[in-house]
Amino acid sequence: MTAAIAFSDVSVRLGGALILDRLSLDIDGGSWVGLIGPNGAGKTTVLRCVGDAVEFEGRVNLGAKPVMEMTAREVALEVSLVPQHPVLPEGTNVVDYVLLGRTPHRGAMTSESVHDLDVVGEVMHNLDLGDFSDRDVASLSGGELQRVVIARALAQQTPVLLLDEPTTALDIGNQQEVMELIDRLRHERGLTVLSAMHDLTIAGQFTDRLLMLSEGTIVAEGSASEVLTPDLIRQYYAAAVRVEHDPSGGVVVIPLRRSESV
Amino acid sequence: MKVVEPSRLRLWWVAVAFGVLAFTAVIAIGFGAVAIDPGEILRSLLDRLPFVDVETGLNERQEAILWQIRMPRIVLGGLVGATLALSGGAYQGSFRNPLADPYLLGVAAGAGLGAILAFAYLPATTGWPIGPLPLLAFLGGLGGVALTYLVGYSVRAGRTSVTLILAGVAVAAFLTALQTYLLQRESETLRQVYGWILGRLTTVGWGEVLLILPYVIVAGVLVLGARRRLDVLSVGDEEARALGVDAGRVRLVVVLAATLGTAAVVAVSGLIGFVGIIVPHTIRIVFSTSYKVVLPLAVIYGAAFLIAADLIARTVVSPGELPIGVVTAFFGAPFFAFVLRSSRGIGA
Repeated sequence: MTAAIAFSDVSVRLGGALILDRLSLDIDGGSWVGLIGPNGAGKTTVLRCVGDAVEFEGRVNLGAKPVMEMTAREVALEVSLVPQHPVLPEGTNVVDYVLLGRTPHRGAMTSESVHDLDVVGEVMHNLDLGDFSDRDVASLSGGELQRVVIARALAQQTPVLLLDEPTTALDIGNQQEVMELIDRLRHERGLTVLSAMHDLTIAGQFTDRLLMLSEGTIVAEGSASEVLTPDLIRQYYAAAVRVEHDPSGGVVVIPLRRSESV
Repeated sequence: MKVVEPSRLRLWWVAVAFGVLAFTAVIAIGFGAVAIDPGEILRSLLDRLPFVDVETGLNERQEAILWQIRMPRIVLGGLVGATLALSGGAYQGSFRNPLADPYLLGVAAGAGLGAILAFAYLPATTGWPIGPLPLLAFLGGLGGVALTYLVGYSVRAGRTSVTLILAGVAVAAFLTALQTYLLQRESETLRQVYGWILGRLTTVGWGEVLLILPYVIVAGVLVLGARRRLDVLSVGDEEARALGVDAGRVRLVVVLAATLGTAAVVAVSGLIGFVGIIVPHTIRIVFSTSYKVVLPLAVIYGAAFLIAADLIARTVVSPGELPIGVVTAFFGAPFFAFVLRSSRGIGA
């Protein structure tokens, strides 16, 4: 079976710096893969390669097709993105914003169809955004906004969903809500999810597989208990942690004060 | 499940806008040294339609004033206002900058330089089908924006939508310096140029209208055709790309089209500022921020606005005439300050 996303020897240089260094990876259809690693490891750049939003050497395939040979619109029919810091156009209401997700499904000159409006209505209902229709996107709270941005990505109806730090700006309750929502949606819709994550415990709880990046290469991959080890975290994050294995199978990463470190 | 209602251009908004435009035009046509009754204007208009024959109470002189002096001026004012307002909206959408305006991109400064060259070095009357002034102003405007593009796009690292605006400011300063130099050298042309720089709508029959019409139509069709794409650009280039839109390409087409229209109208009307700021922003406040609404309404209200400004320009110091650019600046500059105050950030 062809992987939903496949990188082979992908390198990215920005302003002379090597951001990704001959990276190869395969992501199976329907799985949720978490990208972890310290700041500057190249997590966001991996997402940008999948969306063909950055120049790279090597090959990135979506299914059987190389993204370099696809138009922006063709890529947007395969991959949707929930950015870390979405740009919020002032004065735009939630319906208009979610409707932007339908852009790749219609021509430049055609207006939205009844079907487009149905998809938007269904997504908004599903994400409990019905009462937000007329709200200005710039006026939403962090948790509300994240649901609205996810709604736009879902309205795009792509098989692949990219999430860049989906929980970073959220409180713990909203973090759980957003992650549970993504988990439910990916099962309902059979989505392939690739997310860059900072919170290691949450990353371990929700993803099927973790890829740890450092300086543009993959330094560890596997299940949460294989990747989230004190040694790897010390080596690549320069952090002192203790790792607890929860009886339910989860892995809990606990930061230590310097004085406690062993 | 709640029915979703996206922003769209309502038919009655368009109807009201056309009503305002028609009302303003009829009032403006009637005003002047020789007053013409609005009823007679409408009858004379009807009479000009094919297969319609209406008795008008106008004598031959009034008919001539109406059709050779007033009408061309009103139509020219409408075209200039519509184009400046539409171009302003188009630049604001392309650069995601609420302050973007034909004047920020070197268009006006380039056109001004072209005009001064024409005044100073070319004979006033030539055998050319187009006067040297509009032609050089047009070329200067295109040259100004091309220079802005070259400078803006030579910046490699950290290039944002603001870079181009800053490049425009630098180019405008350079071209204005050239203008001042030429003005000092050729001081006898100063008076003529001064009138043009402040903007004016003087017509000789229908020549100016016919001169700019093709450019205005091409610019209008291209910019209006991109209105949905400009809504997508409002989330920034990277997200636009994730939605399948090549922002750079949309921006190139829209900016070139808006510049073509602006250069054409600047060539015949001189420098009339602030229309491109006042009209689109008022529409955003009253109706919607979606370009599906802003751009079509900017065409209609832009025309009405400039016809009204021209009416003020030729009546307040009657029998003299104020430059129309003075009128638009009088209302526009405070409005610009208001937009500056209320905008959250420029090109953020």
